[in-house]
Amino acid sequence: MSAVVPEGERRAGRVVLGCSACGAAWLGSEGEDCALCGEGRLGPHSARVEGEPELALPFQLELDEARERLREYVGRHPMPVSGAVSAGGRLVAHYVPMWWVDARVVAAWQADIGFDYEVQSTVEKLSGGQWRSVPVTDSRIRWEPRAGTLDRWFDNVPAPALSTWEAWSDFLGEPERRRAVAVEPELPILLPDLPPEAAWPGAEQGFRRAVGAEIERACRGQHLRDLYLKAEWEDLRWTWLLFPVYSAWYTDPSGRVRVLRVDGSTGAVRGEVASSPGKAWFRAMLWGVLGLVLLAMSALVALPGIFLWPLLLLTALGAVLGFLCVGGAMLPILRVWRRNSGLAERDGLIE
Amino acid sequence: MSPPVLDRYRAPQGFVLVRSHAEGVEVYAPAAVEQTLEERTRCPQCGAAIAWDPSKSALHCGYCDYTAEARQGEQVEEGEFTEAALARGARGWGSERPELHCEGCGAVLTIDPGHLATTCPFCGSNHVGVRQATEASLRPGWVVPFTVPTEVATQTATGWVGQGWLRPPGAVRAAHLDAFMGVYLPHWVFAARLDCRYECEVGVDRWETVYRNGKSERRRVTHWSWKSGAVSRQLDGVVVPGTERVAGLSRAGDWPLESLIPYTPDVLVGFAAQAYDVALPDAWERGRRPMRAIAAAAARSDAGGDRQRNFSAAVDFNEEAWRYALLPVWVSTYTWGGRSWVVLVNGATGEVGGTRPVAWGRVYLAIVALLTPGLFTGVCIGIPSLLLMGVGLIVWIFALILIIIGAIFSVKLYKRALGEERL
Repeated sequence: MSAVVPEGERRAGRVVLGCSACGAAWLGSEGEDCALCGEGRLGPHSARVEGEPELALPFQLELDEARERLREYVGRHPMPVSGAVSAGGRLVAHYVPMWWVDARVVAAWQADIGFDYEVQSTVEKLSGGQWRSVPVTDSRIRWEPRAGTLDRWFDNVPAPALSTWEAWSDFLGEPERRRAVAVEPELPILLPDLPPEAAWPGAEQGFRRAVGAEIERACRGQHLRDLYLKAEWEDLRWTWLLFPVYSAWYTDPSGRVRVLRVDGSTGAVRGEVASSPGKAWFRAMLWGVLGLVLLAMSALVALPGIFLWPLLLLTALGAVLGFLCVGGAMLPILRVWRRNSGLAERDGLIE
Repeated sequence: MSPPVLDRYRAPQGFVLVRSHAEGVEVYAPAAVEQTLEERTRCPQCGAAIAWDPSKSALHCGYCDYTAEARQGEQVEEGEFTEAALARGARGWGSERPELHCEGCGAVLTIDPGHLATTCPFCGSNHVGVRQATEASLRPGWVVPFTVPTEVATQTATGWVGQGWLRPPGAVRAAHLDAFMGVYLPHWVFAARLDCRYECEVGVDRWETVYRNGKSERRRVTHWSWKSGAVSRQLDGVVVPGTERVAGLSRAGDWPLESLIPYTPDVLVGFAAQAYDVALPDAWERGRRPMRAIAAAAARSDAGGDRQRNFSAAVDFNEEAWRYALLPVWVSTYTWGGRSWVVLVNGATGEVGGTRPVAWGRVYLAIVALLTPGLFTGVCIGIPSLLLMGVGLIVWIFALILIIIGAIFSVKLYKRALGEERL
């Protein structure tokens, strides 16, 4: 089903390019940065590609709104590195692919259908030696066997187009058919790394879910379990759908490139934000200096305290505060070290 | 041309096409079971009346010895407390049966079509009317068939009537217990899982030795602490009689619920049966009382300690289920001393209950005999010894103890005698 697009061939009016670092295939302009990994540049490439992008979800967020969301997100992290703080200014809009599959499903099925119902139950309360009955209504499920046949079309069943789609779907959610529009041609498009034949197991899962929901509706049930399906899938049609995403990347203190992404539809933000050791050391220094000043002042006040004993109380208080400040100066450093060492190696969106 | 999957499709056995609420989807569901409950009251060999034979657990013809295997009733699920479950339940007896109404005790029971009933088995009254049974009540789902034959019931009951020294002479001879009527009596059988959360103060005793005025004493000190917890109990087989018109039903003993089989009209052939007059909600109200007591006892046991106080609990009833069952009783009435006496024999276990006459003369004599030692000691020994030797006070105390012991036994004896006569 898929075809290898020879180097230099054009799709959707643009050349198929590849990332020099992660190898992801893109439709974009040569020399652009790879918005998937943020580490490589796009150059000549040959990739297995099926069809052309047909539909895209529109960018609901303007670039400025996306920057604001990213700024808020980064601001929620302690002492973010300056690269992450300024990442909003480097946001790049692009598309991420998935499949929509249409098919005629002809199947024999058998399942247990669950019907919700309510039962008048009782709670008996014993207090002070007296029993009191409190009627309560319990919701329960009655399971009944059903069987039958199914012959109908299912449209827009989602299927993964990327091998890392599980992580992407957590971030992007389910597409809504009515919102799909034509693709904006000037934006880079990440190409699928799962052709239809490789994406079929995921699509089949989607069809099974859709068939299950339809059977549940046909039986007027509210639950379904143990679905056995003997199905034939006919007239399969694969549609290449694109999700709008803004991406920006920065280099963390360990030298690793990290990508921050904003969902162009919902404004959801994803990505690891590293904390800045420099900021931590600066804070530590401030607290340390403050502590040393307090200790010095305490020492100075201690001398006249020999003759005027209430001053000794002031000395003690100053000394305690001083030691606390000096000791507490370590906390920002420890916090940043702990946070940065707990950052995920990869964000799951890149293979 | 339809695809092969549809061409080859055969719905599972017992499934029928039902309405689908989605286009392109055909739905098959298990067919509702229509019980064919035609009654077999005539012997297919000789045409004589046949009846359920408890010793064979089958329909049997007494003339030609034909035995028909009992049909298995449809497996009935336990019911839940929903309107739908009650609405789904079948009604009536599954066969045409006349209904006997007693104007004496109010009993209503269905009898065999061929049965010429003129007296009520519960009170012996002959003021009875017969009409066609209505189909308003739920059909029984379960039944414990008769396994105790009428001969065994008669023999056991005769022994029971004459048993013990309280019986008046001649009562056994007068009691013609050869007219036992087998009656299936309605019962509700409940099951539930009880989740009980409790809270109480638990006291743990310990003994301390204290010195007071130079002497050591041991005293008990209770350390109290609050405890809360949860216990769960699965209860099954809580039986509540479905009728209030049959007195003394509780005296027929426990029921072997493991012998419950799905109801089929076959087991009613040759027997009377009574529909419930205690509705399910009322019966469930009664059934919950012993169940919650069991849950509370389990909670108290779980709480532990040497003593408890401020105990409170909330028992949540879950997975409640009910079964409407018919349980077998042999019933007979006899006359003695100008009144009717009822004898009930558990048709499954042979246990006997009911009422039996008491020789009250013997009871009063026994009471006099029990009180005499105390009175004699007090009056005949106590007074003279007080007057002559001045030690009568000790004798009076001894006499008083004898009187109290005699009175306790007298009351017990009187209550027992009363209980045997009345239900």
